[in-house]
Amino acid sequence: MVKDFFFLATRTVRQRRLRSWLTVIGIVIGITAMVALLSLGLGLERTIIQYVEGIFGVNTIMIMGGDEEVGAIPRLIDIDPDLVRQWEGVVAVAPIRLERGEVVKDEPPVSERLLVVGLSPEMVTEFRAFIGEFPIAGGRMLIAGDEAKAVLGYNVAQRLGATPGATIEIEGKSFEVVGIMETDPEVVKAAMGAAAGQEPVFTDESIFIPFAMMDDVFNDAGAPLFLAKAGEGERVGIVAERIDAALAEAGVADILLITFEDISEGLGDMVGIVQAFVAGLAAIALLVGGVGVMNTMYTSVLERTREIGVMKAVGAQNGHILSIFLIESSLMGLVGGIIGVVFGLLLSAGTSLAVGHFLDFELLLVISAPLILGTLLFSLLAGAIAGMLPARRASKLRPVEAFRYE
Amino acid sequence: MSLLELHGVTRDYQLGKTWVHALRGVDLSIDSGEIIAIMGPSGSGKSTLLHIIGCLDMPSAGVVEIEGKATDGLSERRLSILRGQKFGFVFQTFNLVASLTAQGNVELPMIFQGVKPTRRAQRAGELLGKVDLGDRKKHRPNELSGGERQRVSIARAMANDPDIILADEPTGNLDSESGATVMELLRRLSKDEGKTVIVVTHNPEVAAYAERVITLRDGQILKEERRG
Repeated sequence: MVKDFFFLATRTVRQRRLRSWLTVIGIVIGITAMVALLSLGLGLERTIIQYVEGIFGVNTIMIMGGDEEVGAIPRLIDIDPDLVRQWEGVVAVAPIRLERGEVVKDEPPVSERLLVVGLSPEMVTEFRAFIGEFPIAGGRMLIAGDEAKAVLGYNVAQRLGATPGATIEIEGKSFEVVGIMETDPEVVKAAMGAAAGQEPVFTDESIFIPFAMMDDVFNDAGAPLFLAKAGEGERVGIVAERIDAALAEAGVADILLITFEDISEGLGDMVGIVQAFVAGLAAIALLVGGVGVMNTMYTSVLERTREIGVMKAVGAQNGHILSIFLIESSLMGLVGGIIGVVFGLLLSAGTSLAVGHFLDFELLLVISAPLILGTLLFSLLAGAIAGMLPARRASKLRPVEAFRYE
Repeated sequence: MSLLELHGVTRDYQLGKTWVHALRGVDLSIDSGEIIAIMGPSGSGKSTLLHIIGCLDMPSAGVVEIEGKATDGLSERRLSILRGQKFGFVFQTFNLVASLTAQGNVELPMIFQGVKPTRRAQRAGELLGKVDLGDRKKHRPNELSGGERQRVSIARAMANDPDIILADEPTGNLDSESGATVMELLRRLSKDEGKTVIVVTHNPEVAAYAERVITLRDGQILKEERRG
């Protein structure tokens, strides 16, 4: 019987083709907007997370001194990296510390206050994604076992007129220049930025020395930022908890531990808020479409008053009439939903392509099955809800009144 | 026991701001197999009476009994089932569903009774054959002449094999030849299949097919005559 009702319902949709399509367009617009915006939102979320994953690394744990206040220069954490390296689940540790110091070169005589970056060689070997490339123009990068060695940023080397082999003094301590970096004026190294309290740090204007030397050159010991790497197969969150506990045991308090999971969660929340807002806008569009369906259904009921009377005269029950009209409006919703999903996906694909083409930024295209199925169900329901009142009205029509209606 | 009995049936309804007293106390008893004509001038309450007999409308007062059972107090659902199973309607304006073929229209009453599609198609075919439209099954109403349309609606009225056929001016929109064919069909339903046929008309030629003629005036039965 349901199949017959289906037939009876689709027959009108097919017959009043233009009006049905116009009505469906209302739904299509709403659903297109919804699918496109939500897909783009998902794509953006995935893109950001992948980007963060790329620079942060999924198994990296950031250990920072101080509270969560953004922009504050983190306090130094005075703990021996070699100790941390021995903790369970940790396979690599790299501290980084930034200070400003007086740099002097005798021949030709130059003196400048510069950013001195204390870097453990592991930062470059183990956390390459995090710190970025360290392209060396001449000489070599710092290696494990280096003591009074320094690598100069490109601009610094130019101004000091230093080449590998030259000797410079940092805060009165002698260092041998072993390498000069290639110029990289745009790069702000993420790890250094974090250690400096989100201040932009340009490698061209910096001097790099082994981390172990920082204690000798500057007062105080320790580093504001340690990066630790969890071993293969370890749960990052669990290793982070262990580190936290071990640090507390070692008497180091007020530590902020950040993992990739924390960051992606935070970003997910943020994108979620944007998504909810955007979905709200799309819902308004859909509401308008729903009112269109309701309007068409009322007209349809009115036009078919006699037909409803006939059906009742030949034995149709209220429930039968209700079903026929509900199927009709649900179907308009569903068809609108299907077309809207297709358009929405095309639109988001087009946007992804356009963004990739014009903005030099790859926005990932996400085709989410739950989103598609959810949207289809939603559009079906929207159609059904919009048809509820007109269908009820049709079903309650008294046959004799239906016949009297012209 | 009569097939149909009406006791003191009245029907008032509001049309705009005025009350129309369509029926003012009708008593009527109808037996199985009869052909009855209900006559009377416009506004005499003929159609209202037919609607009330067919449970399309309910009386304001009085009782309608079908096979001894009163219809007042029946739920809408029960009334729908009763209409679908006991009655077949034939209207002056045919009232076929324009988007359905002749066969679809004949099948319609069976859909609401839950008859299986194959059984439905078979019965619709038989019925259309009976009204001489076996070759018109796939035609839509607008592809059929008036007489053909009325024959489709007779086939539709017979779909659920009802006891009572109610026809409201069945020849009103037809030429006399088609009208005669339609009336002949209705007569045969009564004679050959024992259906009770109640025809509302103001045409004496139509009434001539009836065994009993009831004349209404101002919502009351003016006279009742039996013919050989």
